[in-house]
Amino acid sequence: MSRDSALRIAAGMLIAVAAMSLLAPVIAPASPIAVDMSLRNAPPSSAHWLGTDTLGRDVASRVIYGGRGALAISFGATLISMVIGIALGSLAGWFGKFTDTAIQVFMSIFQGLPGLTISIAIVGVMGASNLSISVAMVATGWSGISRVVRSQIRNLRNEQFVEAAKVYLPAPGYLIVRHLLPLTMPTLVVLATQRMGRMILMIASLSFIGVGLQPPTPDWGVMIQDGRQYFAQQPWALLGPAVMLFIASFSVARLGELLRDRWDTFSDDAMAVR
Amino acid sequence: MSAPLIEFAQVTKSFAGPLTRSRHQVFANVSFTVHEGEIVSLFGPSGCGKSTLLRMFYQLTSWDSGRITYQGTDITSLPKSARREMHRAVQVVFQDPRNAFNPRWLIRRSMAEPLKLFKIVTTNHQTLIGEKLALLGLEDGLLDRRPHQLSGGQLQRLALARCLLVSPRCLLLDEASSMLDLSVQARMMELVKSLRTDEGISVLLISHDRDLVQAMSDRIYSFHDGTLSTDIAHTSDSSK
Repeated sequence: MSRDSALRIAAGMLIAVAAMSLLAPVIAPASPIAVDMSLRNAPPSSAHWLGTDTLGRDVASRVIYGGRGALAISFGATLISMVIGIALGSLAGWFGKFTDTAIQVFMSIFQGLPGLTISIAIVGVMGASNLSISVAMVATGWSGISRVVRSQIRNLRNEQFVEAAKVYLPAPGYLIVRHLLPLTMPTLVVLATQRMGRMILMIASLSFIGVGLQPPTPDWGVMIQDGRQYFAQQPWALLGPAVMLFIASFSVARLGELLRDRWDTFSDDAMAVR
Repeated sequence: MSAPLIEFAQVTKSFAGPLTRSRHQVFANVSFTVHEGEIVSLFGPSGCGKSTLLRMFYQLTSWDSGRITYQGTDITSLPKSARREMHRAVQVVFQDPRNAFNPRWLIRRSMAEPLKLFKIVTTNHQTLIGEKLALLGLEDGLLDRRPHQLSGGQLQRLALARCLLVSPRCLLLDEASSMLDLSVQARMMELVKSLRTDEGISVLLISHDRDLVQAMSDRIYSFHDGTLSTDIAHTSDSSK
């Protein structure tokens, strides 16, 4: 399969998942939280494509709605993590010396913390909400980005085209924003997408262990937790959200890798033009 | 006599070793001058520290001792506006042309960068860039390419054209014709000589090509074992 075809497939999968979540009120066949005890554990049918769960709720509708929270939180948290990570990583990489040491110590403290445990602690202290989950995702997400950006800026800052530009006495911000960060873009895209993929899984994990998004909010993690108890009798209740969770996290991470290959100036294709 | 345009006085440079506290001395007590309208060459083998001297002039690397001056003033004590003027007036072509331009930028953008950063007002940047390209035998079409799509020789000439955009008083040319074939190199060097003759531009030529520096220079400084000496054997007719 060519790289362009793979890119189109990954982008298509992600767009499909995002569109499904955005258009959930339009395309969902039923309310995701409407309980109908007369329809408990119904198998898949034309009225309920993925059957119903133990409370008689339509599983397909819950699957369609289930990505909204995770995708919105992971997208927002990734964006904020990237801004913090790029800003601190750039400062550390460019200025070096005391600035670098101070920021690196700060980074190490955050990077040394176990992600899931700290997320549980933050959500536990702040209470389960979109805000607390976002804070947890940012707190555990920015330091890795910062470290990579620092390393890239340190490698690039002594390149000859940067020294040539320094002859024109620009401000450091100009050199970082105009010259250096665009060159780190392929890496940043991969980092952002992988981070977002991991956050989707982390949010589902928090919901799965009961500290993330709370029932009756339709969420893939919550649904997997509910569905695992009755997997033998009604596998559709677990497989639906599990497949969607896989598609969402895989497509976003794969898309990043493929975009990196496409944009990388130093890729074989680019050099072959010479 | 007026102060030299550029003067290096008793400059010593050493690098720290990667693992030990011991330092490796690159050169010691290097002194040379470049006056208005002169073509001066630094000649020596690869790795002797010629390019490091250029980087020092822009304070891109530090030095252990000695003094570097521009028009008689220590470059480390120049006020901001004077330093900006010095950077505009003394332009450099670095050694590696393949790495002299941002690899992601179109050449057009790289060429316009000094005009933008030095806030040079022209009626039309593109016309000015086109004139300088023509001076070096380059076509406007190159402006819409990226560095990896050009040859080393084209990039070297583009780097010189970029220097000329800001009307410099002095050019520092670090192996600036090393990737050119002989006929293009001859044309470039004729241009450099005519810039000196017509516009009084000084040139500091750095090369390990003895024939080139002998053909071009008013004075030659040679590196031997970390020291720099005037090449007394050189008798130039380039200024005649």
